[in-house]
Amino acid sequence: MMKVLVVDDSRVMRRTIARVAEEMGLEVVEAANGAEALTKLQDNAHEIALTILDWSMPVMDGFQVLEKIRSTRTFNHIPVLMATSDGVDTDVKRAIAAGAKDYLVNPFSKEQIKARIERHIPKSHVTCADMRAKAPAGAAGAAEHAQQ
Amino acid sequence: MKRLGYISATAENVAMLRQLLGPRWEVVHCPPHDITVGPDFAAVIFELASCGQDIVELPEAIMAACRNAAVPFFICAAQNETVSFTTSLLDTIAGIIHRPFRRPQLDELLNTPEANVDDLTVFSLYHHFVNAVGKVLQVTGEITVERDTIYSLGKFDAFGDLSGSVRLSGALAGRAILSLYRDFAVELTGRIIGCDRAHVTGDDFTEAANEIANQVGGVIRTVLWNENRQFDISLPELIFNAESPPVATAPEQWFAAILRAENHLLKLQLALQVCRPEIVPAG
Repeated sequence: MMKVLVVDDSRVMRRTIARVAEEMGLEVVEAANGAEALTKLQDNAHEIALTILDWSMPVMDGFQVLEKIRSTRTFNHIPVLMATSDGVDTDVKRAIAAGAKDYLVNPFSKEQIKARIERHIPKSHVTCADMRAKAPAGAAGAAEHAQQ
Repeated sequence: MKRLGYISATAENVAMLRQLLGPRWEVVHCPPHDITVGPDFAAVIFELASCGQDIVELPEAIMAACRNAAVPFFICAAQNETVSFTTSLLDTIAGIIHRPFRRPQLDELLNTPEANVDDLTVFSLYHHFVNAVGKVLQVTGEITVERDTIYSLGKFDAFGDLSGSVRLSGALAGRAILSLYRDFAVELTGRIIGCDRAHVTGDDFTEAANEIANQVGGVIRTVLWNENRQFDISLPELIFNAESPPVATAPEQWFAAILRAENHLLKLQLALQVCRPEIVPAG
């Protein structure tokens, strides 16, 4: 199952995003800070399809984490979606310039999160995973077969 | 002082507008059928309910007079099933106040020593604050929030069982207090945290309040960033009103909004002051 890494120091935000991703049939890996995020990326580099990264976190902010992701060959292919608590243009431009694929500005709705995830994770992955999650055991095999 | 023409049939509404806008604005009460629009008006507000039967011709005549005098013209809608008159009036005023703050004009204002942008922006900030709180509750709590009543008042009034209070400092200074009844606080916190209301604890109140403050602060920060103003917002202090009701420590002018969410009421009270930003010379 495709995984989404959600990095945010706020448990509320992690759970809000995670609920949406889980409803889409994705598995969620959570990290409460930048260091934890890098460890989780290292451990799950081949399964994580998208990282949703909060901009403002203590110790290591989202921008620093983003730079680290982009400079690490093991996981620099994973698209990063920055979540910011304000929509200040310079911050958004800075994130995009640093390699973020997209951004979300708080307060964002579930629909906005879902739309952004769909934009960056190939729909076939989401759909098939969703089908596997919802279908009975026999049907899951058929979905996998169809994907191949 | 800016002059604002207000076409209203009732003196009470004019008095309300004067109270809302404060002493920096001169609100001129214009009778609907006898208005002379001069270029000294910053804008003209036309209260739709004032025109009686002439619902088309009278607004068009006044609009033409405003166009000739190059004065912005705003229609304030009458009360209907979903929007109160006060809310409509506030939206109208916010539109007027925001007009001067498009980037080029703002630069001009900020670089003019005698310009006093503070009094002009504080009202629209109240408006942004109310909108931001509504939007954040709506998104995080998945609850429909409507503005019920908005008014300015001289003193702070305690409300409900529980209040979350934040202090702001920097270019925007003051205090914002959101109060509600305990039952709704539990419900809202459960929705924000994503757990059943039966399992909501005191720590969850704090976490939900932090999230609301963080997101509202973000919205206001975005609004102010374009006006070159930066401020800090404190972590919210949770106050159980029965134990120690929140009190205003200074004789501030408070602004209040009653919000309605699924038959529950919340009260947002604000006392804000906009401080003049430092102008850093280019280069």
